[in-house]
Amino acid sequence: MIPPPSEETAEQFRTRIRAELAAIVPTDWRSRMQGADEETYRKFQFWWLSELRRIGLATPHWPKEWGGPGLPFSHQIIVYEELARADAPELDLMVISLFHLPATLFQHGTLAQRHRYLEGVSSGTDVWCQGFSEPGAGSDLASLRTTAVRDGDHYRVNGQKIWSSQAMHADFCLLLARTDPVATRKQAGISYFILDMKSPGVTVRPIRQITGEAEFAEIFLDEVRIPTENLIGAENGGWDIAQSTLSSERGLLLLGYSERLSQAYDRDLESGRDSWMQDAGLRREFISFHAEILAIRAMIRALLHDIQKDSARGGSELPIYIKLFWAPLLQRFTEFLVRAEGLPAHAAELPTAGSGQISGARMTDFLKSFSWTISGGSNEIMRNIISERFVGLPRG
Amino acid sequence: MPDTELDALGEMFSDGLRKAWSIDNQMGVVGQQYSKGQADQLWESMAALGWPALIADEAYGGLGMGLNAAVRLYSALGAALAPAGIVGNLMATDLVASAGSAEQQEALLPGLADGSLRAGMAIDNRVLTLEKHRLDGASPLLVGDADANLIIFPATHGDRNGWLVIEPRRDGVKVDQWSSTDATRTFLQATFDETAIRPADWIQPLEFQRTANRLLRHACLALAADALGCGETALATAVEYLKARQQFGRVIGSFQALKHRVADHKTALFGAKHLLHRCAQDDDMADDALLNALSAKVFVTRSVAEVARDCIQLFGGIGFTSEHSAHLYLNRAKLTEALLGGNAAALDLAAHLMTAAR
Repeated sequence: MIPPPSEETAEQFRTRIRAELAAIVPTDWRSRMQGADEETYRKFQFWWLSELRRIGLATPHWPKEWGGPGLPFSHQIIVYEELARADAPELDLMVISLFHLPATLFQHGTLAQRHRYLEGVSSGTDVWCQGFSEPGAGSDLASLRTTAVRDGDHYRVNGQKIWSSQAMHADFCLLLARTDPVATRKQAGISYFILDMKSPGVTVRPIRQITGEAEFAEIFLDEVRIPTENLIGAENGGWDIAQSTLSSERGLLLLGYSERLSQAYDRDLESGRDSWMQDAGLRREFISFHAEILAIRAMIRALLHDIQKDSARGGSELPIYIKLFWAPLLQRFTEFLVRAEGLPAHAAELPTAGSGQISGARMTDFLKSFSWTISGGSNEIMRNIISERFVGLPRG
Repeated sequence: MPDTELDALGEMFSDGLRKAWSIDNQMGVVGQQYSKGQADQLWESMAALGWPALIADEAYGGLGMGLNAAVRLYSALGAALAPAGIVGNLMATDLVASAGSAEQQEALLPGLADGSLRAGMAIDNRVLTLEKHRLDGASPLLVGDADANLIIFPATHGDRNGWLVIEPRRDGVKVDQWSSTDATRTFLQATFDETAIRPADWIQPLEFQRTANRLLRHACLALAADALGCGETALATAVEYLKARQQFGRVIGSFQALKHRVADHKTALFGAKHLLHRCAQDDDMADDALLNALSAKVFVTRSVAEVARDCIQLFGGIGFTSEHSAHLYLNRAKLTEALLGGNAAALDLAAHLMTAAR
């Protein structure tokens, strides 16, 4: 575990983290992961988490009482900057486990739930997924139809979930289901559950996406029993929990991604220096991304500052603006690189598992950017929220 | 200074301008500028509030604040569509304080701070060349009020590089207002005819390029800040209209085709604000300070020019009439985008700095 940063200045902390990461990041991990099969990928992800745990950075944003290092935000930022700088593998398999689950349980879980589930994530045995969207409930998530009917000491759950990242690897699922089919507002009849993916009646079918990878899956739920102690928050109170933890967690997740983007930008400058950077039009276009990357990093720091002062404020306007700034930026930037690089950008390459948003395979990265413009509330939903809730324009 | 205090400072500037400057001052015939009387009144109000003294050292009657505070003032000016002559004084203060001799600081800083000196300051670094201590030709564009009693611009003579500080009444100097499509600000241009230059007219820093970069950064942030205020107000007025105007039996702001554009503009301005305030916090000596400021200038002015363009479209017919203010924001935003040699040149310089540094 990391010693308390009290006696260490921020720069000393940075120097130490940098050295420790340099010692453990395998230089050849990208080539090893390119085209890796699922079992190899899974093993590698758990191995990398355990390496990070050795230097106390498996869960850098978690509080001390739950096995995190209890770092102040200033130090967390340094950790993510240094992970990006070291070009460390991304823990793509554990995004829900490391970010959404703790945010949900820290704020809304019972003590028993925190004890039962957080350890499994930080010690690297459990993978979590999220069961929110349904075939008929995408942007209109609140219209979801998976039902959970109370039956003694458990709920009986029936329905179908879709776009669940990593569900085929998952041990548990954060599940939204309807507990009150006649609630006056459809949002008011939804509850938030912990689902054990090994329960009888759970079937998972992977979905191959436009990049060729299968990161998502469908989950079919047929008379699945969920014990009542697996309800998070109050019955029918699931909607607000899902909303608040989703948006604030996105900030922390994006801290890592935006630092990666910034590092990738510097690498692209190097790789393009003697080729497409010679073209004035492409050069100007590339240089203009510098401002946007600075802007998104500044917005994310402002969000972290807000969360640190008052965790509820993290659920306010900033995360929505950040998402609508980030998603199109990532898409335009990855598209630009396809265009700048020309034909080589289109050569078929096997995807590199665990490479986050920026693998360096230009077309793959561009195609992957749609996961940000569509999922977690599409750009269009973000525009509705901003114009209606923040600007005050009337609903259509 | 923490962000919350800077935010409060910005609010104070906006409040002050609400009292001292009315948009009606701009609403004459198209292309007609506010009157000299209105501009003088504004200058007196600002001087009384101590705004020209914002960044000067306390030893010279200044408030001793930084460029990040000045940026809040510049945004308030843009938001109010107010004349920007005070930018000339603050940039001149920056120059004299960082590169002037002790005598020059003594002679100029108190007057620049109390508003008795009004500087027309070169907004970019185009350098005039002297022959035999005489000056001919035209100055670069100067930011300042029509009544400027000092003009300041970069020049070179033999192996001497620096800035000339000249009074406009000197023989062989003629200062004209540059009449632009932006009727809300005044820019000046001086022409010289065999103008005699004395050694005392020179401000000569040890490192010319370092001072030039410092002033260029100041200009970039000033323009980006002006644009941000301008864009935020333009969009706010358009939003008010979308909430009130009815067609097809409903408020037009309820149409997704319009409100999604508003959301995109809000997001761009939100990012622009964080970018600008982030770049204004850079240490002036930091490696990337100028690169960041140039990038901010380009991004903010481009974004705002697009917002101001779309605001006229959102207003529809009324936005196309000269009685309405929408065009004032667009004209101001487009000029801001074009200043400093335009955004393509700014990107080229940024590219040069970036490739040289890495």
